[in-house]
Amino acid sequence: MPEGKGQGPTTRDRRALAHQIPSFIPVHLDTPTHPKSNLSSGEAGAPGFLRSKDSPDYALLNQLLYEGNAKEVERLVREALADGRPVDEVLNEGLIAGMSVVGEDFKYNILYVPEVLVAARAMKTGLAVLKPVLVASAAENPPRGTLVIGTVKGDLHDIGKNLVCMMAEGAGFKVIDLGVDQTAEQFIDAARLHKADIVGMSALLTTTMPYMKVVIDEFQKHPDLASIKLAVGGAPVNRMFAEEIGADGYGPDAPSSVEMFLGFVNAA
Amino acid sequence: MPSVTEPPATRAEVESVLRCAAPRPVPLFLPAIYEHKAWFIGSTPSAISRSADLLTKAMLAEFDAISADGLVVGVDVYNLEAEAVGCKVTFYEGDDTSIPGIKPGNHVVRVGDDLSCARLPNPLRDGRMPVNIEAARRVRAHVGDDVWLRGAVSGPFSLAISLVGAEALFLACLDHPEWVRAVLDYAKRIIMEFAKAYLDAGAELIVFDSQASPELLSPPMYEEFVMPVTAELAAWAAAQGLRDLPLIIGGNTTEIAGLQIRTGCNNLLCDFTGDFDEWSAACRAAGRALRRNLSPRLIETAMPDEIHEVARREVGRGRGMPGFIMGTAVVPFGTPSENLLAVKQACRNA
Ligand code: B12
Repeated sequence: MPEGKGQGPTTRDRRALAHQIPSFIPVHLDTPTHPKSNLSSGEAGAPGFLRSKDSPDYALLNQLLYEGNAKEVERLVREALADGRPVDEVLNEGLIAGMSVVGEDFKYNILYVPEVLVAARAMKTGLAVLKPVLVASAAENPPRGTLVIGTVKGDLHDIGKNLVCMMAEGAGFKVIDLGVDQTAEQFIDAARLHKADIVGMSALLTTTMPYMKVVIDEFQKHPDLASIKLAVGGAPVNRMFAEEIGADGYGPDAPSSVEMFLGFVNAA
Repeated sequence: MPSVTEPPATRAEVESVLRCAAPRPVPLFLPAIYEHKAWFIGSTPSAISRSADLLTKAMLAEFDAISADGLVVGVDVYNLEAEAVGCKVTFYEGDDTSIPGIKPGNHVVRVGDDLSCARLPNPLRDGRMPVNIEAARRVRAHVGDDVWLRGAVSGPFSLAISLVGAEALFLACLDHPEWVRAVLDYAKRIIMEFAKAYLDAGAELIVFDSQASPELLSPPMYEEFVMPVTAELAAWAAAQGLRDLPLIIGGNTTEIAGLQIRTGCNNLLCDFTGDFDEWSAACRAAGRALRRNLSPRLIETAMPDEIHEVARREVGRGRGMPGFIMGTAVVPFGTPSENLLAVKQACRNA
């Protein structure tokens, strides 16, 4: 059970409310600004992306992403670009903002893994539309940092790690996912090869957690890797353990992990 | 910590707990020992999971060392059914004590596949099912009929994840619910084949379905997809003459306690992160037995005195509850036996 997930006094209340109130209260399919036809069918001739000249409808895009409606997300992202919105604005306000609410609601057990996965799939569809433009403007929009991540040796759990990958990608990181059952050597080789800013290790078993220390000890033997931040996570891991083994950080869930990663690269 | 040498509960004593007769003065003690079995004979999980000889030896050594109120046949409990229909399991060689598993990507069913005629395993021939069946037979012959011996089977949802892959199955729950029901039905049919062979070998059953935990799947999805097929499995088991069927879902499952009760399985698990008060109230009302687990980290690394103390508190909370069972956690490989005996002692001291 990741710390924080399902805990805290507000969890139950939020969950109860979740059945009655959509997370994005301002956006509703039948509000005058968003006629139903516009959303449900997406047929030609539907009003454009701009709600008015200066107020793009990112709330709607966020809502559609939250619902995992990949087709509509793709359409709105295309419209936003066609309407001349800057690519980084569409990315940040349309996609990343939507995904961060998904992350929050996952943290509080309002959304579960399947819903997060459909939202992430919708996000990917939107990103695919932005990608050519992002690549063209790569010099102005470099990735926020490079994260090399994997599940440690002997451990085959990857569902949580994959969510961290998706949300880190969603937040603008370049993510190199090594997969499961990774040795210290594999982490080190990948960190060098991809010039990692952060290396993330995941473990779900109490018997594989200690291997994180093996990896950290190995990293510490190499001065050229000293600037890389080493982060750990997975259900049995906690902050105290992370400190004990000399990790630079610990993430109890995907959204907090991404915040931590941002903290690392912003401080660099 | 005094060592505990009393013999295990008889089948009749176990039965009276599972049927929620009057609370037992000493609660049943059912530790969750799977990969750790290997440790009792100085072997590894990969080795014992591939040899009926070693698995039998390991189980008998476990029985001697811990003398718990039940035994489970199974090491890497989520893999055998999937392996028997073609999924590749990764084993670890030499003295590597890592636990065998199916690496992501090594799945055999694709979303949308027609499963109406999909292959069912022959438990006497396919994969490592024969290893478990043979070990069940030998252990039963050795310990006699009075010990509660259970063969581990996968729950339908966990097996479906092994067959299809976690992310693909989760997405299918939203995109192709009808197909998910078909794959769960296929999983159930596979499990039934394995289960029949266990029953023929003289073992009962224990169902593991931790991947249907609310850590992953929402309670409405549990209700929609998992509860019905699990209920069918439980009804089928009952029709085979099996009166007791444990359903084990790890993690904080408080939110699906009522749904698990509705499956018809008659002994359930409240893991250490679950809300014991809510769970025990639900089980009391429904007449279900309930096992309480502790944290695996505590079991693995704390001193026996501390474990005894924590276990004693939990046993105290279960006192007076018909059907209360004390558990451990999935015992991490290499956990000292004194740590497990400390929990057993806490049951005796109740
Ligand atoms: C799914 C699962 C499996 C699946 C994994 C499928 C897959 N593709 O991942 C399978 C069937 C393969 C499996 C196998 C086993 N499992 Co398992 N499994 C689980 C289960 C049900 C859910 C784990 C999960 O995905 N949680 C949901 C995700 C979203 O949470 P999370 O992983 O914690 O990730 C979040 C945070 O931790 C964090 N995070 C994660 N990684 C990282 C990394 C970084 C860098 C950061 C910053 C943050 C971060 O962010 C994530 C997203 O919010 C848990 C029990 C439970 N209900 O939790 C048992 C559990 C982890 N398994 C357990 C066991 C015992 C096993 C087996 C040993 C069983 C056996 N005897 O065969 C094998 C081991 C195989 C192996 N060698 O690894 C035990 C572990 C107990 C222990 N000793 O520690 C658990 C707790 C079950 C239990 N209650 O007993 N398992």
